[in-house]
Amino acid sequence: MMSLEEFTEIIRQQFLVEDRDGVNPDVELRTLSCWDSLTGFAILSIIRDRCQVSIPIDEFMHSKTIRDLYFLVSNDTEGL
Amino acid sequence: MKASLEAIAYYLPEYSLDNDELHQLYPTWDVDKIAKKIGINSRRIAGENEFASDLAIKAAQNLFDEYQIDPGDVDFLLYCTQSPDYILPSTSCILQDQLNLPRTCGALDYSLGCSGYVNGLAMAKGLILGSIAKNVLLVTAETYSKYIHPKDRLNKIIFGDGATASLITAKDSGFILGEFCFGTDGRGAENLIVKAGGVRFKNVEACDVFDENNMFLRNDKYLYMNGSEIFKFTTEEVPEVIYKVLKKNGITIEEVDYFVLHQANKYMLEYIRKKIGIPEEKFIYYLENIGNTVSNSIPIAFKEECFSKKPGRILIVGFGVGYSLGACIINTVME
Repeated sequence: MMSLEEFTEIIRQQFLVEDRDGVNPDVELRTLSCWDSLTGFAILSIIRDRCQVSIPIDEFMHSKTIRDLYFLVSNDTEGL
Repeated sequence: MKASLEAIAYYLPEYSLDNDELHQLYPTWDVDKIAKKIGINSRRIAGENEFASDLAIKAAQNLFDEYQIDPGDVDFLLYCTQSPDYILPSTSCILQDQLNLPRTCGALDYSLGCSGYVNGLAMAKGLILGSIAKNVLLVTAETYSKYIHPKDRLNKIIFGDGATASLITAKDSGFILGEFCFGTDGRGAENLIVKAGGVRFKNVEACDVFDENNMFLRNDKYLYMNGSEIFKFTTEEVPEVIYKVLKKNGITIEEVDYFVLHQANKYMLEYIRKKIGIPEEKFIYYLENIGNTVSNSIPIAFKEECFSKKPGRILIVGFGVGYSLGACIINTVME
């Protein structure tokens, strides 16, 4: 099972190298100055690719942090 | 006899829309941030009275001039555009006349976006191997800028206009067209669409639709792109079609020298590159100063990155509106 740290690292990789410093499990992703819709699409895709979980867009929109996303994926029977 | 991609030329409109100008148009938007991510600093935009067929004629004339090709030798014209001059007649018939192609040549339009070039190469190969034609002129031309709403900053920063012309001939050397793989999924039709203008929504009363943050979302008379769904389709299906075309051609990913994918945007391409594990030095990016030029992006990148270097084996993939996708292996065979 994937740990929160491993999951966070996968999400961090979706940001440009210079933007990764402030990305941690509890930061509100959409408050980051580097946040944009493309990053959101990539996060949805990498979760699908790496965790085999498809998060509906409305649930994704309600998830504020990486920890929230980790919780969503962990609760999916096939996730992690 | 085989089908060889003998020559490519292109034409881009003179006017270049750069990121500074976009910043002036949308002063509250951090243009540089998104531009850095998608890898586009400027894009060429057709003039108000400059249309896709005008660009197509200039691209074809560049081809004839650069490679000393006699238009009289062309016996089939394939024209890929989603910006036709008219509902009817086919723009290809007008191009035949304007380019002085023989009246004995076949000519047809086909409507595809970013997969258009690969589909065109496949048709050209079929025409040649079926002994229907010897010299196929494949022209792509697009002016998506004319479909982009003035308030639609996201599509405005991505797309650029342009045209290309390629000659595919019956020959055993050069860039030989190998095996193709395709994909089509019309369930995605609504995710990249200009709804009005055809007969189904001919007289639609379209209005601007905004999201909860008052950001422009769509107007049915203009281009609409559901970015989330397009990203999902692309990152799921493009790797699959790459694996299929490798298998069909009996080669491994390591045996490919260059990967020329449709130049959608750098961030998405980078996602695909990493997902498949393609080394950076084999992966072509050519969009910084031209943007996403739809069906033109593969031939432009191929011309710039492959024609002089002549790598041994090139994999090309087109993907997008439809949904539609196609992939092919091109093998360099020396004379």
